[in-house]
Amino acid sequence: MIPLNWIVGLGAALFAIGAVGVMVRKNPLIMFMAAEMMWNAAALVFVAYARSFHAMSGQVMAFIIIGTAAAEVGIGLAIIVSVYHHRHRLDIDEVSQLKG
Amino acid sequence: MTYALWPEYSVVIGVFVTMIAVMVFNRRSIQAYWVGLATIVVSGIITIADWSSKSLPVALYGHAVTVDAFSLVVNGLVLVAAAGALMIGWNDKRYGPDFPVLVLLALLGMMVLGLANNFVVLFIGIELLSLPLYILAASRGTGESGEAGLKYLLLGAFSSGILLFGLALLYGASGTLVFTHLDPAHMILPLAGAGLALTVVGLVFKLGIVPFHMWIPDVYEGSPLPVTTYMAFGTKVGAAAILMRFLFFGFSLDAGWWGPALGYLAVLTMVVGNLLALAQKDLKRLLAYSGIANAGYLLVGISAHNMFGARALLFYLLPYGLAVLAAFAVIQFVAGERDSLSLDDLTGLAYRSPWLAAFLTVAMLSLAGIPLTGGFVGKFYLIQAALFANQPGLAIGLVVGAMVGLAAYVRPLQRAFSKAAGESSEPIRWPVAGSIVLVVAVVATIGLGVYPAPVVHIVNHSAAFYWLH
Amino acid sequence: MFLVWLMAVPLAGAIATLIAPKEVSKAIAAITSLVGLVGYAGLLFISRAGIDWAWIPQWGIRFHLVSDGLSLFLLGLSAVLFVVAVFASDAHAGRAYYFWLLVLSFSVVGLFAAVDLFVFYVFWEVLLIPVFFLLTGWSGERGKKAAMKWLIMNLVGSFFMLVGVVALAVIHNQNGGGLTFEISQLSGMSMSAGVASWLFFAFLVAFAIKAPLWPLHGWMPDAYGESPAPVTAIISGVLSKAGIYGILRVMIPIFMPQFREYQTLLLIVATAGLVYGALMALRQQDMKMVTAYGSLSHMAMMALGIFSLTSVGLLGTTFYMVAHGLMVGGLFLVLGMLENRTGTRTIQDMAGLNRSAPRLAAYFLFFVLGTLGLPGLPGFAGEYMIIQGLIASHVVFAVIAGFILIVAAWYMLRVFQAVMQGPARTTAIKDLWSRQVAWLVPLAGLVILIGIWPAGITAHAVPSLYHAMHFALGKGGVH
Repeated sequence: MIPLNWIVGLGAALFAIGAVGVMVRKNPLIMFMAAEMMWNAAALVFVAYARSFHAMSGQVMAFIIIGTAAAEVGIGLAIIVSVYHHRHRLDIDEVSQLKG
Repeated sequence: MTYALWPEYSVVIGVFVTMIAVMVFNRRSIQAYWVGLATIVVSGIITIADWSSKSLPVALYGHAVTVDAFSLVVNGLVLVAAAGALMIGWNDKRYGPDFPVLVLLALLGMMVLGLANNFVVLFIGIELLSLPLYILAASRGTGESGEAGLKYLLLGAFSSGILLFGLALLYGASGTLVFTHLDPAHMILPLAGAGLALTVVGLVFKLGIVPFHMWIPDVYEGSPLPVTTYMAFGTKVGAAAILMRFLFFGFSLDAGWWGPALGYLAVLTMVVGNLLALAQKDLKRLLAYSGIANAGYLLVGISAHNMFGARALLFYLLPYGLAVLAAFAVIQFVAGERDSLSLDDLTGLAYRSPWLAAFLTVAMLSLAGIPLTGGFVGKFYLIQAALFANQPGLAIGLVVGAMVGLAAYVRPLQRAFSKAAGESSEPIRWPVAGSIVLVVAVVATIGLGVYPAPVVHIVNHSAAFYWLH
Repeated sequence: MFLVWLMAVPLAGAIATLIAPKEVSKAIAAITSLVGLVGYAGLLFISRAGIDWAWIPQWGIRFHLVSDGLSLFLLGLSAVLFVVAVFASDAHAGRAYYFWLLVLSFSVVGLFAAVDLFVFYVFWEVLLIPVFFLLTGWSGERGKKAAMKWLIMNLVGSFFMLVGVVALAVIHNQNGGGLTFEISQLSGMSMSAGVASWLFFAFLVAFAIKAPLWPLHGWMPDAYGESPAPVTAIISGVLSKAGIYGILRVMIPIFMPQFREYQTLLLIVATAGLVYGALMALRQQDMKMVTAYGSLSHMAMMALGIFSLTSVGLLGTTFYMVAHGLMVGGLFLVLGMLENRTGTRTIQDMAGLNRSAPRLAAYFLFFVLGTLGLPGLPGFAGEYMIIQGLIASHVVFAVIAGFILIVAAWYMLRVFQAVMQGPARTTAIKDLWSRQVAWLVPLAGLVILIGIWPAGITAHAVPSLYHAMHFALGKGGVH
């Protein structure tokens, strides 16, 4: 049986990698993937705690996260593809007609 | 038998009917808009009926959702926002056939946020609100619109990730998903603290609080105008409602953890948002920064953390939203075929169309908080809340922000009231649906400023129950 | 109910100017302001009943207006000056000009009659907007800058005052008195000294900016210089009185201990303003700016009357506000006519105009003499009472004020001499038309009336002042 803290630690590591990935990478596709990793880290932590509490609620939450992530991927890829069609390159620094 | 959730159910039904309408009728036909509007009206009627029913507040599905006066007021606000956005974009061929469907879906998300009492529902509400808005932001299909959609998507996914991880840690610290069952006294402290911090950061990301605001101006500027209106009004209502519910229900007794932090963020947001608004040349960006600053005002109500704060926040959302509707409707009319409007384009508006200039004046003065408009009463209520909470710093921060903001809001008016260089521009078209939104919003703004007592009564009633828990 | 008349008529007129064709805007404004004046006559001679309606009951806010001795004559001042200003305005000034003028008239009535702090604040801030548009729309690029300055400076003051307004009510509530904004209930409540001092200065700064009092007069030169004559007359004749009136109406009942604590400081600052205004007036070459800085000096005089904290000084200020408003309003209008006819405001460019325009010169001299405080004209009575009050409290400041009165005679007469007397170097100008005389005569008559019969005002003002100060009097503070 893997100790709870290890799993939570793994989740935290995944979360941190994802967060750093969103912040440092330039390619929207990779950024989006990193964000999804943050979601999955949260799902993992939910499941881990649910098991340790012997409760279902956390697992329900994990399923909802997975389902929503699928929807988000569907929409996200559509938007990314449409932007790609528009400029035939993908670099977030070049997607900057709107000056921040 | 309770009809508590029927405002939401009716929207669910409306979404499907609207989708069918889009498919059955000609793809670009007006029927879908009528179905969407009818759905909003029906949902509004049920909300009003619920308001007068005796069975509230009621907790459903094992405390997953709570229907109470607060959620009904949020329902009312987001219904106004959705109706406004739908009518400003009424039958506009630029935004794709699914526009009404997506507006209704996002509306459902906002309504869910108003009654969430559980992490699952919170998350579903946030995503139900965000996913349609990603599509709407990109729906124009042009470069800027796609760019806005992409940025919104990436930042939205990022902030949702932060929010989710925070919720996961809170779940680990408390063992429950229900706000009202959270018991901070018995939580594992570091875990709970980290969870609370991440969750709040995720939520204020959605609300657009400095320093988590950088996505807002780009997204607001690039999105189609009705969508920007919807985001500026509806999203703010939803995010403020869920932040208040989460903090007041879950961590009411531990306001020391989050109250001061949010107070500092509020002051920072009000001042920085208005300062940046001062530097803008594009009207949509100006209103985007104004939206950021106004999110700061909303945060004042939350961090004051008393009955007055809750009431003042709920009250403030209405005049803010009405002013946003009016201002964006004016921009939509003046911009015509274009999608944005610079301050210089406003020059001479008072001579081209005196009424539009007058309406813009009312909207801007309300945002600035000048008396006899709703915005003033809202700010007045917020100052009351801050002072009742013995936090004069918040009140001072609010008026300093308002001062800077005033200079920002007056600049477009000065342009509008000065003479144009002389080129004769084409007359401005007044779309019927947009005109209705504009006139209603302006009349209501002045009405709120002149006689706010009924609305004050409603928000007082709806926020009072918090303190009986 | 005549108060409702006074407020409703300008509002109805303002809406009428929006709907009616552009050509009749001035006629509408003229009729409206005359009907307003009739309403004021009703208020004066028939019924002075106030109104007291619930407005926002949840916050204890009542729409409470009264016309007591403090406000009665200021209401009259604004009623008279708005009639005169409308008649003096350009007939082609446009619909928006008259609209904003009438909105201004509406909000001024509300401000002068309000005794609920919330209502007071609402009108206090509302009246910034019409003035902003009157400045921004009818003069050039510099007018826009002046408008911006006016708005920003005034709002900086009033936003802090807003915090003060709410804080007073909240403290009153925490003291167990319930949430109320009624000035008479807020008066004399107990506050911690530190909080009271902060609130005191929050209010004082807001009022001093509006007046304006040195050193917070930054908006004044631009606004006075850039606005058309009728607007200048309204700003200096009516709106500047709002600042002084606010001190009398709001601060005296609530902050008497703080007045006493900071009295010396306040007297020094006000005296500095008095001297500064007079010296600046001496240096100006622009006759409108001479009057503007002279007016700044006179505002400081009114402030001195209040800060003397004696009943005679307060009474003098109450009286002087009305007198000065009438006279300086008339003076700015005469200067406006002069500017219209000669096309310049610089003193050196004019000389000997009394040959070609004797009637204009006579009115000019009349208002000049009035503002410099000639005995028999009302300025004298006001200044006399103020100096009497200063003698009773701090004699040093009375001496300085007396000296400045001489300087005032100097700078005002300097303008008159340079413009009207001497060899006629400039081309002849048209004298007053009979229509212009028609509305200057009643104004001058009114000035003479209150000059020879000041008791007509003071007799009414005394009871209200004592009412306003009853708390202070109870402590035996005011002589």
